[in-house]
Amino acid sequence: MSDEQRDDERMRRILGRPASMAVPPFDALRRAPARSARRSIAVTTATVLVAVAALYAGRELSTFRQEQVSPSAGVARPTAKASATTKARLPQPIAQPITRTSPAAQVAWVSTSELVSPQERRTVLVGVDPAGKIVGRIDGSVDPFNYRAWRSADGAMLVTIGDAVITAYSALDGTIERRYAREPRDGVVDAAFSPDGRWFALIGSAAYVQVLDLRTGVTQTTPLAHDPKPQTPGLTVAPGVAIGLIWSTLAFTPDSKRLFTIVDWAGPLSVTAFDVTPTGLVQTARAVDGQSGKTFRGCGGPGLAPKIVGGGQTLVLYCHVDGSVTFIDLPTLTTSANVQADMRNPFWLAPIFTPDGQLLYLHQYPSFGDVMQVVDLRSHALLGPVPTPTKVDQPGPFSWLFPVAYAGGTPSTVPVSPDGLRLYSVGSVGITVLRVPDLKPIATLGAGFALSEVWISGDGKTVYATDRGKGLHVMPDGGGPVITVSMPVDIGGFIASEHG
Amino acid sequence: MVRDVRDEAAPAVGRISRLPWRELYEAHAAELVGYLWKLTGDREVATDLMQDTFAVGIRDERALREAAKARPWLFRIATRLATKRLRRARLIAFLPFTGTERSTEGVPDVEGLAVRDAMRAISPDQAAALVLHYAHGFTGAEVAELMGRSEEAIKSRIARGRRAFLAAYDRQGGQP
Repeated sequence: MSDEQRDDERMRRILGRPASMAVPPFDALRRAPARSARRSIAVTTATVLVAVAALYAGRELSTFRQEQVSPSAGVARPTAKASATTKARLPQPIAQPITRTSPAAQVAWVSTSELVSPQERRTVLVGVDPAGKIVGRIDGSVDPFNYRAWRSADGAMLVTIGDAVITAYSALDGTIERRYAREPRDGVVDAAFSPDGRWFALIGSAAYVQVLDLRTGVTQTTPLAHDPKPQTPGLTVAPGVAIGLIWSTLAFTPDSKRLFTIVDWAGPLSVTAFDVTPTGLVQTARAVDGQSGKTFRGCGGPGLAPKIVGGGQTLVLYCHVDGSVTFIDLPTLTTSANVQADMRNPFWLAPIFTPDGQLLYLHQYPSFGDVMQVVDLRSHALLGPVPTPTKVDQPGPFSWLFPVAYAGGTPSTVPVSPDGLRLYSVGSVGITVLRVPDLKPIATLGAGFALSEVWISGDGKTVYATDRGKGLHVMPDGGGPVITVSMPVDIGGFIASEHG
Repeated sequence: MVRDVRDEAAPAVGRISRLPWRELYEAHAAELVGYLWKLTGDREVATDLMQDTFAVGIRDERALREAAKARPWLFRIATRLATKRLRRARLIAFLPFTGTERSTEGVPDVEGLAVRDAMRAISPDQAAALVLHYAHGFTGAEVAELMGRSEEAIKSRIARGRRAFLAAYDRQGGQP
């Protein structure tokens, strides 16, 4: 027998294995799409509609530009005085160094969950590498965790919080690196890593902030003052009952030397400042809305996204509920500006802070009309909304302004390249890569896929995107074939170092 | 044999059909879904593509002159749909959290994984030609007609694909 005959026989043996699979009934067959004449009519109609839309959009953009040259009401509504009289300019981005270069920082982690009984939900985190290979899984039924997972600033570590234990995992393959005992065992409102990776801070529902030294395992717990009997519409507190924290958040300064907690909703907004010392937190200041002449706008609902910018001098709070952006001067803990973005319903905008801290893009999810607004975090100017461009031959809608993102939902990532020069906008036609700051489209990735969220690997070379179901799509940032990984259940979102 | 069949394909076409689509479905659906599974490595995608195949077949039934030739014609449609999909996105098959595919008996199907991974190492056209020839018994000439290529081109594609497939299959630890 020749080699060819042997290979032929082997091929028949390998490929000839029966593949028995259940087949859906004939009556379940779908109707095939119409073609020929109907398709021609549809294409013609679509072309006419696109042409009309383009003419309309061009006129709107033209109007927008004219109005921006001479700012007037109805286009941008910055409340800060300076922005109403100064001609708007967007700063050029400051390229950030690429620091997340470890193999672990290139692995995307997504959360999936399913109801396994009316009382029990099973959550599994899955890690996928740039080759589309599943490299790790963290199963909530094996190592129970109750709350969201967090990813360290360098992208190399994941942390989950259970009732009695905090567990640190390697983001490379999901193996356990260390467990930390947890006390008290109450609910967790929010948590954050320090940028230097040493500290993990969390706010507990029993009204405290706790810092965990990830190197030594030592924790320090500090009470957080709050209003135990808040007067908030929709919230009824029985007489004699004191409630804990319902919604709060926290943020480290970029140098990891200070921590700020923001206690909001179900009570007046308060900001508390701490120094982060080798032995833990030392409270240095506190300011409460309505006390000592301080006024903080608050959010009116659970959903604040914080970011400290301006060299650690300014706290920016984006409110998912009403689209307001509040600037708080940190040395004095006073409000320096409030800007009101255009948002018709809560949680329609995804906040995208650029890594250099200069801009905040607010992306209205495509399902609700794909538009962009941008806030200059230095001048407090608000520009837009403008339609998000999707074609690479389109100009950037903000290109003339510099001189040289759910039914509602909080985005799980901040879709900006690690160097801060590119922003990724997902939609029904794939991912449009937009240049910061003018949002000039420079490339399209994953064309033809209807996508939901984007995460960029630590080195910026791989782009991961979820669809609205079980698919995780992996593609090179420079363009190339798309690898699709299908999960057994729907994907919830990415576990990212930055989130909205 | 061609006969008018009223209502047999009603769910899909809602009109009078020339062909006995229910019978054709019962005769070929399982084989087609097995073919598409081997080609794509994904059960759900295979089932979807099989349904698309019949939906397109019912829509374009006038292109088929004899019901007796329905099998290769359906395979042609299935191949076109599958290779188009595979080209658009390199499919990675359904991966349960354990990282190993489950066979119908519930035992991890390591052999199936090796086949799937080896399929991914070759082009969609080569994969289709190999599965049609070795798994479903189409001759080189039939594969050529089905794929709209010359017989010589298909012979060459099968030979090159076989070498590449077996090399990848051995790397994946497939059975000798």
